[in-house]
Amino acid sequence: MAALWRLSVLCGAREGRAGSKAASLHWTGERVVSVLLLGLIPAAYLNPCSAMDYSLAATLTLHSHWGIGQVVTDYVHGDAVQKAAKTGLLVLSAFTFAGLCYFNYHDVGICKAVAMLWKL
Amino acid sequence: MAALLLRHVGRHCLRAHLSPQLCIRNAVPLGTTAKEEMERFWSKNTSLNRPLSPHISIYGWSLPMAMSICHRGTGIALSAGVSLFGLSALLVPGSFESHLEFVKSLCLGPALIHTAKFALVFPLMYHTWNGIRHLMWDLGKGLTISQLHQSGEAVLVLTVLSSVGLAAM
Repeated sequence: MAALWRLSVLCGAREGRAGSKAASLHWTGERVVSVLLLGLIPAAYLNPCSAMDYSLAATLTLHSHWGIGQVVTDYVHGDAVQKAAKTGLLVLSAFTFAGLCYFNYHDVGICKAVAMLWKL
Repeated sequence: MAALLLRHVGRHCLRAHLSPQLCIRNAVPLGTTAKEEMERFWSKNTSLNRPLSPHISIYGWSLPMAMSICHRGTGIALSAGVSLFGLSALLVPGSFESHLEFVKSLCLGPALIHTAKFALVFPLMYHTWNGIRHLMWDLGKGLTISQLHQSGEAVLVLTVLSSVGLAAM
């Protein structure tokens, strides 16, 4: 109990307390999405359906967005440039997700598309 | 070193007197954030225009090093592919079926089709198997050098086998 109190005061004693756990949670989120995507791929093969199409679209774009985000953080230096790059990435990811959802809704969907492509 | 120690002790004593409820060891707020310090470092570094010391041109390549950059490379390539697919769904007219019909009309031949399938599935398989290897590391497993090399070689073998298998389907 005392340990929890000390931890909360520790977080409070710093400036910018809102972001103190953000990085750690982001890291965990990245791993969770990775495992989710790993499971979705065989699941999509064994049980192709509309729900699978949308889950795949969401997980794929999120995993890709966070992955490229790490690349930007590693190689793009400077406050303004990095902010611009991250914004550009967000726009790209948003359009990618929109495009995949559009494809799932108006066209055959991801699972069927892969099956059709492979029958070529 | 002595100055740093003195500064830390001085701060600690000051906080102990002024706000006893907040005085927890090592809870002193810092003057700058990590982000500010990084920004300072990079602006100073770029303004000094220092020559970059040789790194990838002289360092001896190792399997883990090469596999790590390939993981990043395949990740970027796969993301680009997915984005291209998504964007073309929004921007390029015509259904997916019509596009496939167009490709069929080109009469590319089974060898080329097979090669194309392999080229598509190879980076995906590499990234997937190496990704599992990464997740194992995140769990704290397989971090010794010999295990690194073994798992790396296993990933390469699995990549080739799974790519060949999937391309044949």
